[in-house]
Amino acid sequence: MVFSSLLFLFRFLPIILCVYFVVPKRFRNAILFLFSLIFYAWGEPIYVVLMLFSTVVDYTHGMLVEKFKNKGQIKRAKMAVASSMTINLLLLGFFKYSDFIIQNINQLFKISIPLLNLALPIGISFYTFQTMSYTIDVYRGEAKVQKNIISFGAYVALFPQLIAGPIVQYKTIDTQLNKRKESFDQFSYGVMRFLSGLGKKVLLANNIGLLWDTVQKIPSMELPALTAWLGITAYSFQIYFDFSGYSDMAIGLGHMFGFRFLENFQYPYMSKSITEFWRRWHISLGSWFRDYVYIPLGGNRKGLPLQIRNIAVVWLLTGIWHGASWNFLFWGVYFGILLIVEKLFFLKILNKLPKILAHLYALFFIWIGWVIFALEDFGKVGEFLKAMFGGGAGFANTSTWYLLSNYGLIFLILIAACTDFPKRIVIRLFGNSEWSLIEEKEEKTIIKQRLRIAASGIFIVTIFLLSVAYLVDASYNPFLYFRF
Amino acid sequence: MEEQKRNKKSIEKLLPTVLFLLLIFGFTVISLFAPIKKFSENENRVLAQRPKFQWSSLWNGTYTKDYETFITDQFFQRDAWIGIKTWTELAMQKKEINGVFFAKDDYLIETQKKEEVDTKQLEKNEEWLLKFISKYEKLFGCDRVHAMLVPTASEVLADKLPKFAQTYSQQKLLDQMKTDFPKETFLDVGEILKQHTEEYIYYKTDHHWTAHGAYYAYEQWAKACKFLPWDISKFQIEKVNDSFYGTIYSKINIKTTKPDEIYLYQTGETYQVEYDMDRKKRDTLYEKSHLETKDKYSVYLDGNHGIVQVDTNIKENADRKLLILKDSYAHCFTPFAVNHFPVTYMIDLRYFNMPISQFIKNYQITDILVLYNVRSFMTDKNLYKIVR
Repeated sequence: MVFSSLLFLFRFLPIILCVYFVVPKRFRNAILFLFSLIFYAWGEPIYVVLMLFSTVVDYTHGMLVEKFKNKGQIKRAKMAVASSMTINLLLLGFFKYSDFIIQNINQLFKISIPLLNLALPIGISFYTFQTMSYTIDVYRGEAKVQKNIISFGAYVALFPQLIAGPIVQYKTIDTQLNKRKESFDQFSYGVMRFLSGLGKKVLLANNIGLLWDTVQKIPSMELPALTAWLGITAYSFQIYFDFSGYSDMAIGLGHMFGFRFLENFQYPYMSKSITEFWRRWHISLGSWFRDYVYIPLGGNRKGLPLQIRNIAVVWLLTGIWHGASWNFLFWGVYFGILLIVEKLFFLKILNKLPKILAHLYALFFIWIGWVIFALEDFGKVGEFLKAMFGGGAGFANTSTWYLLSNYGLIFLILIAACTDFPKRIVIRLFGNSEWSLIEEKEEKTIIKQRLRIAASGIFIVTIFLLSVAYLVDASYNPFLYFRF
Repeated sequence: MEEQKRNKKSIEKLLPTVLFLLLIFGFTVISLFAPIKKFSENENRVLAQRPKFQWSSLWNGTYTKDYETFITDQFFQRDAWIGIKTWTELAMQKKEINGVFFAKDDYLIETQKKEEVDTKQLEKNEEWLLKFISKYEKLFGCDRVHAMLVPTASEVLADKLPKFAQTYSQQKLLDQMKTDFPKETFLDVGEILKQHTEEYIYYKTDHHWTAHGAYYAYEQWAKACKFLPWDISKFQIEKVNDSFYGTIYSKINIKTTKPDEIYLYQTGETYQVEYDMDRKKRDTLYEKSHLETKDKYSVYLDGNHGIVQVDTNIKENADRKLLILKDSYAHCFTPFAVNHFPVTYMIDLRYFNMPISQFIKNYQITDILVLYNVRSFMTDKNLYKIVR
């Protein structure tokens, strides 16, 4: 099930809200667990078994780690962590990468081992990473062991972040899992976040995604440069608003049920370097690799050559995490190289450049990255890049102007929406709102508050109605993360 | 003052929660209790019904999928929501929405994209049509066998499309076919229609041409048959409806334009119309009961039927019988053509399964017209029947 569907909004959500807030507190994790399983099973009933398996395995491993640690048997505790990681990685590897490996072996040795053709269990890359973080956190003493398997199950299957993140590290919601206080205040904040996310996904991402769809269908020999740039810009906006929209919806839903997940996006397209971009894009994945791969490998503490090796390892893994295909691996390597170059010397130069140039530099390489990411086939990537630089069909043609006349205004909206500009305007006009959870020192005027109440009311109703309208006529509502 | 402020604060805290809960619970309750519709007149299709629960269908995923379609199809006030979407897109300056151009002079025109053309199907259809026409041209002569593919509004009214808009060039296809087909058998009515673009030759909210547009094509066809076309003054033109919102309107559901008008071309002749050979006879070409429904274009010869037979008292061509193989564009054309034959048959290949060659033989057909609009000709999946 996805959040951006009538089914979720008008069946699943009302039911779980009723049940969750009616039952006594001590049953709430059980309700979350149960409903999360239903949420997951809706699309793939069979793979629920996999999720339950994962839950039981990591629950027992957590207990084992704790037991061995308490007895001072550190070696055994380490073994337990290793065993948990092995099982998780095997799960992930088997379901996500076996066909990719078989294909390559077949090609390399000119043989034909039949493919398994397994459907990728949705969200497996997210929940295996989450459960791995649990055993490691317990081992490191950064989180307490979870003795209640229902509560642990609720963490693993927690439906808000189940299928598209953010990757919630166990230590960040450790205490919330057992002691959280739902409140109107937090619920209201959750509503605002959820609706922002819904709007981003349904109104912005889906809309501009249509343009990328159109451009993608044009044969590269008939593709003028400007159309190619419009196309990849459309894709860049689509994936950002789609992905960050999902994260907003997840964070918002989390707040409704009393959780506080960490932020996952921080205006990534405002970056002035690739290094900065990766601090702002899919933050939960970056932190995961930092905490569980980069730092354990020694991070930057063991000299430059090892640091470069560590960066390389992290980015190979980041690449292949995004999908079992060479282009994703290459995409990771591409960013790894850019990051190393920046680390070595380029950041210093960038810092001296005028801001606008630094922005353009970052966007340029991010955009090229999306070409590699989106097209999946190296031949197509090459042809598309060629067309972007005039090697397709010149600079522009009639259809370029047509696309621009259709999407011009939407582009302007998207450009504004991917910066912090709208937020700053809102704060300027209405003051800091309650639902931003930032305490304002002094309320300036009653009028500002009244305005704010009116504006938030209008915002809620408008976004809600428009999104529902787009969902009712759902001719185009893709789920982009089926490869993750 | 302090108290008031605190009050406002709690309103501010509560408002999003209350509004959101009202919205989701409100629509949920409404959608649960709204009656389930079988058919959408507006979209002209059967709506998804509540799927029957079965463990097997749950397990293989079809139940959940069907259930989602059911909710979407049956959503409370579905048409109004689609209208809201269209308004939003218009506000965003979109020139085409749901495959519809918002063209000049209030025309809604269906898009036809070059990339979306099924060239394989098109090539096959061309081949079958050519084979059929060539065969009967040899048997009956080139005055008696014709193919007429009528370009749709996106081609003929191209000047009315939004600036820079591009569509598939139907004219190129017609030009090509004209040279491929024997002698004068292929009638290109594109040119004549393009001379009358400021007249009411296409509906503004429907994908059909009007009877007025069909009249120009009729003149050209009659001349090609070596008949004297009936002058327009011989018809009493009767406006029977001015509230027609057609199929293109249904894709966008907003009334940015005035509704279409429907005209009937009446003559003093007597007609006998028999639908689907069921001996149910009518004495008119026009079924006015349809004017009370959404699908008003069906006023012309009662909409889609496998076979329709029209008998007249016309003395011209007393020994001849015309067969029209067609899509719905023919429904407002045939009322002109029948005035030259004592008997006319109209066959829709979608609903007709006797081999056409056998029909022609058994019913002693002497004249043939194949009439489709270009769009439906390009995508038609039943034209293989024409060569059986």
